[in-house]
Amino acid sequence: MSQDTGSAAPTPVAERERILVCDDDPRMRDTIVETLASESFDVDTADRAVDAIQRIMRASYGALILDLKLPGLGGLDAIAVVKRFDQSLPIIVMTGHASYETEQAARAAGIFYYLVKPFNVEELVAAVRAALRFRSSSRRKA
Amino acid sequence: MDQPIILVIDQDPGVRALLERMLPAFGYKVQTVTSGEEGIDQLAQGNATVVLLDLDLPGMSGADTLRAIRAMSPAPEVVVTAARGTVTAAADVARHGAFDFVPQPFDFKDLNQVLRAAHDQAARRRQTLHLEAALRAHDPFPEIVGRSPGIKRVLALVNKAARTLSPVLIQGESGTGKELVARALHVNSPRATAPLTIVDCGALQDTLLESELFGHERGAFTGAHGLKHGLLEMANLGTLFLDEIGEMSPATQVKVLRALQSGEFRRIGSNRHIKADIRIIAATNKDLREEAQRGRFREDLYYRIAVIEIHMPALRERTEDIPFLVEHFLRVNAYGGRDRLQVTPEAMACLLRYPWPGNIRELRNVIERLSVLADSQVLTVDALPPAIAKAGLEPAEPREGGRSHDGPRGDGAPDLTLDEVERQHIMRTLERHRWNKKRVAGILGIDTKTLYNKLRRYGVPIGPRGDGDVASPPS
Repeated sequence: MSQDTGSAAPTPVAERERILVCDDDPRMRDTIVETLASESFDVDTADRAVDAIQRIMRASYGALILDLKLPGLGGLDAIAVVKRFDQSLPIIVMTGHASYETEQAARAAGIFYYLVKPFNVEELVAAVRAALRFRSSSRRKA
Repeated sequence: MDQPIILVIDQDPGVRALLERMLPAFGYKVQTVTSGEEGIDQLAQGNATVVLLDLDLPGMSGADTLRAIRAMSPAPEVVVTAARGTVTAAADVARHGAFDFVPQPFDFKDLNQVLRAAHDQAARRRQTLHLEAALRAHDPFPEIVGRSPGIKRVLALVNKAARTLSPVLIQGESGTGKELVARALHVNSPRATAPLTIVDCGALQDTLLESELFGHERGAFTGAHGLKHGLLEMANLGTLFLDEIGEMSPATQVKVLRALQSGEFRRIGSNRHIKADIRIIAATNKDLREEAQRGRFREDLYYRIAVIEIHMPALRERTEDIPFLVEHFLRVNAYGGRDRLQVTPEAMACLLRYPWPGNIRELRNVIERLSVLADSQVLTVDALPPAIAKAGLEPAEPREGGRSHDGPRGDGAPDLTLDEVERQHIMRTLERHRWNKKRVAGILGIDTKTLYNKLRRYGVPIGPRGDGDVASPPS
């Protein structure tokens, strides 16, 4: 009945899609980059939200991993701006400050997955894979 | 009246100092920053209505800054300026949503005029936003566009269902607007002030979906450390929208069913029961009843969520709504003070005849792309994607009962009103005769004016020529 290919069929993960990681903590960035690189993902990094927004305006990414607590333009505001440029870009937010309100605000902004720091590597990788699957299925629909 | 606030983005300290001194003399408040990044930061917090943007910026380029600013809501107007040699580039950038271009060195009389006009425009736009918000209060479903019998049936059901807290199951093909209906149900429900929490069950596999739904506690979830509240807790006293519920695994279905039955759940790795009073709206592009009968979806969960069922018609089953939807998306995508695109009758004929397998989502994407890429103010057949332009070229086969025969259900011709039969007959005749309205009016035995009145009523744009001339065949 459905015209699209649906997510029931196993969809190949488009691993060549680039992933953008935005975190002001260099150690966290490095850890994520190493983890994702070891799973053969291509990764770009940004240390500020405006930098991430600029990159998203120039290139198409498969997913954005975004720290909520950033200097300058904060993660929540950044989500709103990113959504204007790329509505279907899946955003995985990371936070070490898991208050109820933070989680609620992030979810209201339309995120793909909520990742609480410190997280384990499998959860991160699984979330990224799911985000890329989601991305490729929304690209097919578009 | 409040003093208009002007944000100056310029890396040249001399220019900033000059503007800081001069603009207050014309009655403006001035804020200055040195880069696009700072400008965006400042706009996120402040309330400047006009930005004076120098294109020559360090870091984030002037063009990127302009796009980022225009994407904000409410967007300030941007007046672009450049010191030297970049007039052509600036003019090009100005096409992409700037209000005006002012060359340097400044003629302050001229600059004042432009800034004043930009401020007025921004103020008018803010006013329009307020008005639209006020209008929305009167139209409970402003996002659901259309007048076809199919969409009217949906709206009537939404109207009834919104007032209850019963679970609702929305079924329909991909791209038919199931999420919009879920939102309409929520914002018109007694829980409108509580959050609407959305989860795409098709996008996350078991472990992740359960972590998202139920949350997890410190050290509980295969090595996870922090506390995650989860979507059920977020949705407490609000609405939870389970999109693509047909994709949920049997294991997760059991856990969700249990939570719905008992009104409480446990975070992963915790023994504590948490109460959750949640209104459930679910959506699927499958026939969930059939899935349940075939044992592919839990029957008890199906009956739990399908108290009220809403079926979303495919776009090809409501072609009469296409002109309204096109108009709606053109309006949404008219940015930067640009007038919305005009669609020629021939291009509209193609849009009407294309079967839209991706439904409204596909139509929206096409219009969005065309709005961004358009070189002129008129949307012709040439600008359409080839597949859609081709649809307008195929000979119009008269089809009894309209296009609904192509529908997935194949349950015969739908019941139509006389008006609808007339509309379909007129559209088919127009297509067959390449939109030669004079000839078609003759064939139908009505005068041209009556034909125009009818087309206007259907929302079919009549085109710039306005008389019954021969429409040029789509090329």
